[in-house]
Amino acid sequence: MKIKTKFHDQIEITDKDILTFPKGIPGFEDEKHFVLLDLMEPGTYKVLQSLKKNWVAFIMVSPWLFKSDYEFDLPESALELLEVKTEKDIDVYNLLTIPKELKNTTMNLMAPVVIQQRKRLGMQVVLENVNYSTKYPIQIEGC
Amino acid sequence: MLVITRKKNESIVINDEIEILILESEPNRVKIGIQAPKSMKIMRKEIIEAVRNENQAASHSDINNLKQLLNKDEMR
Repeated sequence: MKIKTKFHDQIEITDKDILTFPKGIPGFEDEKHFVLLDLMEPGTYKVLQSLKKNWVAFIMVSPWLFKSDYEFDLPESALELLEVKTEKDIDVYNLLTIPKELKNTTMNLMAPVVIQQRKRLGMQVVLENVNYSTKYPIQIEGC
Repeated sequence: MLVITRKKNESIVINDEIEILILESEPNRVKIGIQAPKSMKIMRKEIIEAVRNENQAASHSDINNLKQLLNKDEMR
């Protein structure tokens, strides 16, 4: 099927590409279906594109690219919702907030997006009792 | 909204499975204990609000400069 996207115009996807976020995303609770795209080659920067509203899309990266000691415990509620059995089941990405000035880009470490590839499920996990910020400053190389 | 008055060490039970116990009460602060099934998500509301707000900001990210930078990298 063809879908409209925020950053790549119209693209062709199949049912297998669709990720279901049963609870949506905080602030975007109605968006339950997304696809994961590469912003550009190489796929360092990912786009989490909503299917329902084509203007809803988030830029994400693997958090360890910018914070190598990042760690968290996945709460029981998330393990259950995502049907996670082992660590290998999941991919972790964190949302970037990119203002006009690229050097002021921040990454949301408090709420990682966890994707269970095998079941095509995802959720944004809000971590409790951690010292991580929603606005962790990152330095993008070359800017 | 249901409003109930409780004293220290008194509790309320929701849906037979969630117990909220008043542990300490001071003029500007209460300490509560919550017993609930592990699968139940319990959060401070301001944390969820912070994530909501950040997601709104993230959805308005400006990618023009990032794309330019990545294009430059590709050409190198």
